[in-house]
Amino acid sequence: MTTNPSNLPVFQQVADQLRQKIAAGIFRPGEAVPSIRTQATALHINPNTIKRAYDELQMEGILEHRPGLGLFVTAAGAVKANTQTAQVLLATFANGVRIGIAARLSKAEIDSAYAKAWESLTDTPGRAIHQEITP
Amino acid sequence: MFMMLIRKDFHLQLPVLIASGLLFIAPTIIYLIIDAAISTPTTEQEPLILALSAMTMIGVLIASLTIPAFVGVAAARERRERSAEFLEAMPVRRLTIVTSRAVVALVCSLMPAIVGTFAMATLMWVESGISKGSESGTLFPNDAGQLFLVGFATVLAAAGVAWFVGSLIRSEALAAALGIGVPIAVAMATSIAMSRMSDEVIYRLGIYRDGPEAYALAQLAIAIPCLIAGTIIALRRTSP
Amino acid sequence: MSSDSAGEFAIETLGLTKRFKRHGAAVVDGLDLRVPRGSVYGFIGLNGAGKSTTIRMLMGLLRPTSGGCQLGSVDPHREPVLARRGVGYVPDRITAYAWMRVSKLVGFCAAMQPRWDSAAVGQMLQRARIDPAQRVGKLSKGTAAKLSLILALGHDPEILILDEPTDGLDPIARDEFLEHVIGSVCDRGRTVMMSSHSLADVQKMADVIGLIHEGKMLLQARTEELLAGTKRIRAVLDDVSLSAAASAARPSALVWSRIEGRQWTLTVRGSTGESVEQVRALGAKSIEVQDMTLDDIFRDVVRGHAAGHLETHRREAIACS
Repeated sequence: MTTNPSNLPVFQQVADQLRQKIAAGIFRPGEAVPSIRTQATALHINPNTIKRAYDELQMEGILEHRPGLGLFVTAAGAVKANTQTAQVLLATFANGVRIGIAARLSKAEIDSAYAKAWESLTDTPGRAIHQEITP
Repeated sequence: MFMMLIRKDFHLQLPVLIASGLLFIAPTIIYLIIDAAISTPTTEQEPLILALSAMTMIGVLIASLTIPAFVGVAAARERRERSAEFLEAMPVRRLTIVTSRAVVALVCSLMPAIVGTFAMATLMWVESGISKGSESGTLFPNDAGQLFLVGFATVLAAAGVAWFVGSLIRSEALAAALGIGVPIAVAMATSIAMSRMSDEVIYRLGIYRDGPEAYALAQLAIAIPCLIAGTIIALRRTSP
Repeated sequence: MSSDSAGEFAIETLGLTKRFKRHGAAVVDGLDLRVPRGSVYGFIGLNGAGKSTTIRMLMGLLRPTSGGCQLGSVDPHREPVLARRGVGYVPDRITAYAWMRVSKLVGFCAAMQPRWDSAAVGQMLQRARIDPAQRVGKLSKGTAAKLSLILALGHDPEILILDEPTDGLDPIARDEFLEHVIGSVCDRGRTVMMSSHSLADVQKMADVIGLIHEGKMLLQARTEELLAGTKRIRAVLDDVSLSAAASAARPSALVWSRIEGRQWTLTVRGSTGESVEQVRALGAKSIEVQDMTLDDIFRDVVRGHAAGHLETHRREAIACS
C-alpha cells in the first residue's frame, strides 16, 4: 500500500509533526507540549483529533501525562520519536522510489537523484543548525 | 423585549416619517415662496390664513397616503434586507414581532391626522384672534367629523393594501405604490359609480350622492380584508 | 423519531423534504441527517445542493414540504421559541440591522435571549477587537462574521449552526474565525453543525461528515472511518481489450470507476481487499491502493453518483456509525 503523506489521516499528520519536532529537539525531554486547546485552535483541528494524536504518542511512550500539568516529553521520548521519524522518512523515500520505478528509471538514476537532493540541501547554511540540534 | 422591538420598528420608519414630514409642509412652503415672489399686496391677513389652512389640508392628504403605504411595507423591507431572518432566528414569538410592527404602523399612520388637526386648530385659534366678532368656523367645514371618517378609512385602506401586498412579495416599492394607488383608485371608482347610479339605487343603499359615507365604506371594504389577510400571512409565513 | 435516539443526536431530520413549487423538483429530498451530540458535523455539498435550505428548515426559517426535524429533541416548527433558545445560528453573512451600533445590537440580542451572558459577550468582543461604537453596516466582512458568531454564542447555546461562515473571508479573517469556533468547541463541548465548501477545513474540524448532492444525502459517516475506509485503486490494463470488461465491472463497494487508456482508477469504500482481488481477477496489473483526501472523496462520490455507480451502495453508505 502506498501513501502520499498529505493523504494521511489528520491525527496521523498531527502525531508525525509532533514526533518530528521532538526528534528535532524543539520539544525536549521533561518539557511540556502545547495543550490540546492551543493546538486545536492554532491548527483549526477538532480537539478530539488532537487528543487522538496525543494518545498515540502516549502509547508509544513519547509523551506522559502529569495530572494537573498537562503532557510532557518523556526521558526516552526523543530517541523513540527519532525511530518513528525514521519510519516516516522511509515511507517518504519509498514514495520517491515508487515514482522512479514507475518512470522506469534505473537504481543508479534513483540513487543519483537522492545524492543530488542531499547536496542541494546540505549546501545551504541550514546544515549547521541541523547538526547543532541533532547530537 | 417588546419595547426593544417597538424601538427597532420606529427606527426602521424614521426615513418614512422624515420624508413624509417634508411632504406635509411642502405645500405650505411652496405657497409661501410663491406668495413672497409674486408679492401681490395683500390687504388683509385673512386670505393668508385661509390659504395656509388649505395647504395644510393638502399636506395632510399627501402624508396620510404616503405614511401608511410606506410604513405598511415594513415586513417586505425586513425580508429584502434579510434582517427578518436575523429576527426570526431569535427566540421570539411571531405574534410579538407582528404586533410590534402593527402598533408602530398604526401610530405612524395616524400621525398626519393628529399633526394636521393640531395645525388646523392652531390656525383657527390665530384666525379667531384676528377676526374677533366676525363669523367663526370658516376653516373647518361643517361636516368635519364625516371627513375625518373618510380620511381614517382611506388611511386604513392605504396601510391595509401595503400590509397585505408587503407580506406577500419582497418588493416594498411595488407594495407601497399599490398602497398609495389603490385608495385613490377606489375613491375615483366610487365617485364614478355614484354619478352613474340612478337616484333610486342611491336611495335604496341609504347614502347621499354627495355624502362621504360611500367613500368611507368603499375604503373600509378594501382595508379590512387586506389587514386581516396580511396579518394572517405575516403570522404564518416563513421568510423565503 | 424514536425516543431513545433523542439523547444521542443533537440534530436529527427524518425524510426532510422541501419543494419551492408544488410540483417542482425537490431542493431537499428525503434527507435523513443525524448530528451526534457533542460532535462537529461538516455538512458539505456543491453550491445549490440544498445545504442552506436544510439549515433554514432546521432554524424554522423555512417550512418543510414534508418530513420533520428535531433540534436538541425539540421540533423547531412546533416550538420555535424553545428550539431557538438552545441554538446559535451564524448565517453566511451578517443579517442584523446594519444601522445599529454594535453595542445597541448586543443590547437588542440580550433583550431577545432570556439567558444572555453579558460579561462573556463583552469579553469576546474585546478579544475580537470589535469597537462597540461602530455601526454594524460599516464592519469589515471578517469582523462582521466574528460579531455574528459572538452574538450566536451570547446565550451559551448547546448547538451552534454555521452556514458557510468563512465564505468570502480573507485568509487571516478565516483563521481568526475558525479559531473562535474551535475555541468554543473546546470550552463548552457543544455540538457544531457547519456547512462549508472548504473541504480542507472540514476534514480537519469535523467528527462526522454529511455529503448532500441534489438534495439527497449521498454519504454520512465519521470522518475517520470515511478517510480510512475509502481508497483509490489504480491498476494498469496491459491488454486494452480488457477495458470493456473493466468498465462494466462493478466491484463490491464501488464509488466511482474510470478508464483512461490503460489506466483504470477505481474508488471504493470499505472492503478494499475484496475489491483488489476482483480487479486482479479481471487481469489488471500493477495494482496500487492509495489513501484519499476528503476533497478527492467528495469529487469521486459526486462523479460516481452522476455515473450511477454509487446508487446501489447508497443505502449502505447512508448507514452512519
